[in-house]
Amino acid sequence: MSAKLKTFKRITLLLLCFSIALGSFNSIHAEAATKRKEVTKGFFFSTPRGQTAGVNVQAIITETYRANRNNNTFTQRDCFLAYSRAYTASAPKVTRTKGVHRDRKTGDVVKTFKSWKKGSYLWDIAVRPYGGGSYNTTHVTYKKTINRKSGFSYTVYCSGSIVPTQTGSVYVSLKTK
Amino acid sequence: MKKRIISALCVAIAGLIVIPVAASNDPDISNTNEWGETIQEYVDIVDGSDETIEKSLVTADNGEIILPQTEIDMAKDFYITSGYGEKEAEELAVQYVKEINVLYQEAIANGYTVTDEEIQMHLDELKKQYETAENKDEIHAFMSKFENEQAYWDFQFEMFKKDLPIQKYNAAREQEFIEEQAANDNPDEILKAQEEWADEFEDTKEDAVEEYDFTIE
Repeated sequence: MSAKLKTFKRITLLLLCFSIALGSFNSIHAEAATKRKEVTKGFFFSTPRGQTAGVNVQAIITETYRANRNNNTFTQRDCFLAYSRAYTASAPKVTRTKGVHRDRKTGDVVKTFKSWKKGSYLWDIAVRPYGGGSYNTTHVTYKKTINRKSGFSYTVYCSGSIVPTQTGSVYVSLKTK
Repeated sequence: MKKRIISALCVAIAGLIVIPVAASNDPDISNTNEWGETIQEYVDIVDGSDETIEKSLVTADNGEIILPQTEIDMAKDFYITSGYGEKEAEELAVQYVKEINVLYQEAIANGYTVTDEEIQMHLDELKKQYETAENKDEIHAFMSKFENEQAYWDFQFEMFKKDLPIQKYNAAREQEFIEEQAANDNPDEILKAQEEWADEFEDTKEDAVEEYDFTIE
């Protein structure tokens, strides 16, 4: 084997190793990552006996995404809400909306999702006994610098109180750069 | 130059006057403010260990429940503040006080009694929760109508003598209902049962009220 051929083989091998290494590096970056936001809020209601009814809500939004060079592909969003409630004559109700994407500046809804499935989530039922969540797996690709947020809002309603309806929400920015 | 300074001062003063007025015009806060003021009529009566309220805290004899007139008057004022007319407010108040006292009697009959220490611990927890509450402005608006913060907590202490056993009883019944409805721990069934509880609670509460006789004192 000539020296030239040996050198060519070495270079080819080096390039191959480099390509494999680069490929692995890229695949690491393509692995799923998440953006998550958790918000806990308390709500109290004025009743004929002062302020004796209350609800404590924990709301969590998680977006799973794969990063590419300039874009992120958001592959799944999980909306979870758990709550505890203390009441005497009327049980407060907690209802939440489906997850959406909103413009961070205007607050306008820019993307809605169909086909939500109920998920299995673990949480401390000793703290908040009630709750549950759902997820959607529609793929959405945005630039990494996108000025959008993902999340949902919820309503806490306590019949018979002076301000019976109160609201809360949780949103996470989809910007990663 | 002087005119400009005077104009600027006038604008600033007008702003200082308008901002608090605008804030007090918030319907949520203004109603709560009004309720906070109205309830002051009852603070001394309730804190002074009203004899009939004390009697209503004892186990009812022969299924006859005492409805304290003070509780009815207080509830009636609450409904008037909420926008109801005199007659409707009276009816709602009587029904509300019936429900509270039936639930209390059922709570203590099922062993859900509380000690003063438990009530105090509950209030200490509430104090922490109030500080991070989403509607803490509303809570503080109500609280500010009391002579001082301690007066507010003293009043709440008296209210929770009846309310805390009910809350414990309600929580136990709710849990029992959910476990019955979702026997296999299926997440869908659990969620459904949680959603159905509020209606179930209303129905069973109304049925329970029918089972007792009442005396207004």
